[in-house]
Amino acid sequence: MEIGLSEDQELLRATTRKVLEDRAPVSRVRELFGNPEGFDRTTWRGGADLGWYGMFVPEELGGGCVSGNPLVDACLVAEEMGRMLHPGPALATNVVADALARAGSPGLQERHLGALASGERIGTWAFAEPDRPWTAAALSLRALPTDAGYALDGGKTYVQDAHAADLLLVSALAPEGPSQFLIPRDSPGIVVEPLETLDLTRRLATVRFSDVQIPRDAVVGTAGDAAAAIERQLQVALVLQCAETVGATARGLEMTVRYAKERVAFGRPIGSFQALKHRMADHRTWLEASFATTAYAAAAVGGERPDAAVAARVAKAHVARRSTATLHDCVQLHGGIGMTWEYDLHLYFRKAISNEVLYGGPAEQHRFLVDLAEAA
Amino acid sequence: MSANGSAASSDAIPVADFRAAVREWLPEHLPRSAPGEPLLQWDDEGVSRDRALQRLLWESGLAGITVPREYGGRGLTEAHQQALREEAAGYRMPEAFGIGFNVVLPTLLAHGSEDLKRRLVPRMLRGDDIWCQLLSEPSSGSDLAGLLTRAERDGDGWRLNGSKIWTTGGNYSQYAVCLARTDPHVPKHAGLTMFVVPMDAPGVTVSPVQLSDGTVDFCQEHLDDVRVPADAVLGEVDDGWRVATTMMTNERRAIGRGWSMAARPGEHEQRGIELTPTLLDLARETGRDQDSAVRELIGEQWVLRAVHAQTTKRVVAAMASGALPGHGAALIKALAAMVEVRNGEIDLAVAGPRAAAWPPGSAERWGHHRLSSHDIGGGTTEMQRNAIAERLLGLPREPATDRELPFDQLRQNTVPREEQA
Repeated sequence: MEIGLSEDQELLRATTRKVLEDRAPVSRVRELFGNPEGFDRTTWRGGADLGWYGMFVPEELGGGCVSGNPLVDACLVAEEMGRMLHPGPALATNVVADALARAGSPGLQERHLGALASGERIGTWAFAEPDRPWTAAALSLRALPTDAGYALDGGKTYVQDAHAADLLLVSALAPEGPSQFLIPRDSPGIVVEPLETLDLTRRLATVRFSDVQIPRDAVVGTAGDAAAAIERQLQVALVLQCAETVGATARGLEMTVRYAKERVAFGRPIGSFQALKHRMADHRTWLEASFATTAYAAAAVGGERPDAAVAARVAKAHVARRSTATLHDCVQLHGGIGMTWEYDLHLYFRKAISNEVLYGGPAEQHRFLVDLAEAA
Repeated sequence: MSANGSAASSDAIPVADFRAAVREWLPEHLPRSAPGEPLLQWDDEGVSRDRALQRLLWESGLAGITVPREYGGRGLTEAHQQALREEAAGYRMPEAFGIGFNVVLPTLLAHGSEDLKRRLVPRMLRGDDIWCQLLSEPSSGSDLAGLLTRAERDGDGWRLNGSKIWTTGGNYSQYAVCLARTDPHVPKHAGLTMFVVPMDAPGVTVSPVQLSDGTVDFCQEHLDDVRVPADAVLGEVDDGWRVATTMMTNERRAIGRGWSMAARPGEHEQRGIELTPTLLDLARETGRDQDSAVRELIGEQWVLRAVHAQTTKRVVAAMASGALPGHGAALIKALAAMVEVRNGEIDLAVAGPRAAAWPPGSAERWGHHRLSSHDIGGGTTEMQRNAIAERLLGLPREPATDRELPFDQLRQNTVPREEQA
């Protein structure tokens, strides 16, 4: 549904869709519900060949993007993943790669960026804390100074694919101020506690840190100076999440429109009743707006335009609220079949609900915009 | 054309240069629009000001940006037009010409005879003629094709009889396009013809209609034996529905975009999303700006405004490139309606009792946004939903006989007796 794509972008989108349809149809995704890892390593590696995790990585380290705006390209892939309910840590890995590519020391970059782009290593961002807003200002996990660097004691939660990740990008409050550290997930003192998730295609965990020792060279950027980087990571995550949600919503609405054309009752296709078709028309309208705000935010955040922070919140607030409402109504428009486990619609609905609240729900985004305006 | 070269006059000027020239020209020539000033001012003062402004735009080479040069325009692109709209944000533009430029002009260019185009388009660009559209009738709005106005052959020309309503600026217009039934013995869409009618033709009577918000932007017209010549037909005889469809598509697109000849805040390519402070200022004034529920509402309104602006740009671009069909215009009209309703609710919630009463002469009358937050003009939201569902989603129509039976065998449109004008 993106418009004005270049040939290269069209190719990326088409190839991504084909690979997902061939290797990871929804029937395969369903098989992974009970799998503790939750995604398929072979498909993950195949995605690396298509550049899914290298868009934010410089070319000389094995990455590159097709349009010059890595976030726009990553959104094309995220949207296709949403359409296919694709599980796995692509979003999280891309956020970590972007953070590292922007602020990591040459040593960190050389050691990890190529491996992230090639899919050999998986990264995730440990940011959220229980019952705290999703903002840099709300950080409370302390990084205490030691002779060799820092020590972490405390916890993070809603960490995507923490169980599968090789690298954790941890945001914490050092004495100098907000700071970020890139540490191996298997560092001594780290325990990953998987959570039960509403979205059956997403693994989330609480991560506990007990006296985890962090060497000074694991600091990403300058200690105390990470507030802007954290804000940027949030923007990237929000936009990628929107693209995924939009893909899932578009697919759910397609299923519903097709059903309404084929399902005959009271002597005619149910989609001919205005009482039903007007609702689908409204969903189509809001969906168009979701595509528009997500594309706008991708261009603004990817291009680091002055309205990037606002654009990401506009997209999230709109996409989250409308997608959940649309998919709820898609179930309602289906009637009985829509409520069943076997019919895929609830999987899309689950993803939309989960994405609505992760990284902050619409009300939180609305309030954040007023905070931004007051700070300006 | 009469461009004096003061603003962006070269033939194939790049958009950026055009934008820069416009930006330089505007502050010296156009007045700023006053806060709370209504978009349309249908009185002698407003109309003569708008005529003068349109004349000035014409003389400065800023009229008919996308109109081919042979009809008096500049022959430039939609991107140039959009640059002018964006730069003109905050200036008073000649909005009385809105129907002319948004609806009639593209329709004339698409369906008009060479003679009509050469005769009428330059006059519009020069600011000579304000146009209106005689489409809806007291009993035919959403079901426009069920209209009752008749056009009968009369020698070489035609004789029109009937009644039209919801005509923006009918009392100040020089010309109208008018849809009338030329053949009642065929299904309703097939027997219609579009005419160009001078509003001073004998037999045209215009009376203003006051709306619930007190404005008098609309009129009702009675056509009693109004005679027009054969060359007043716009398009082909009995092919008027196609012409009307072009008009309605252009109207929807323009309404969805905000109607004004100037862009709204947030539409400007280079300025990004703007968080206009009006509602936050109100909350500060009433001491409610720290109330978290109020802050959520203010943020929500910013989101809605940005969503509207971004979606409008996307859909307009998609229709221009062919990625969306012309019916895509229904998306932005429906969106505009839904956004306006919610914004009206938000204004009311934040303003509280200030929406109910205010000192005489106040610029902001908050309750009015809720009162007028319905989109009926240019086609109800329900009609937009039909277009989206049937034309974009491909859902089947409701079964009905009125599309197949000859018009004169159908039950005629009526309104309840007490509503009849």
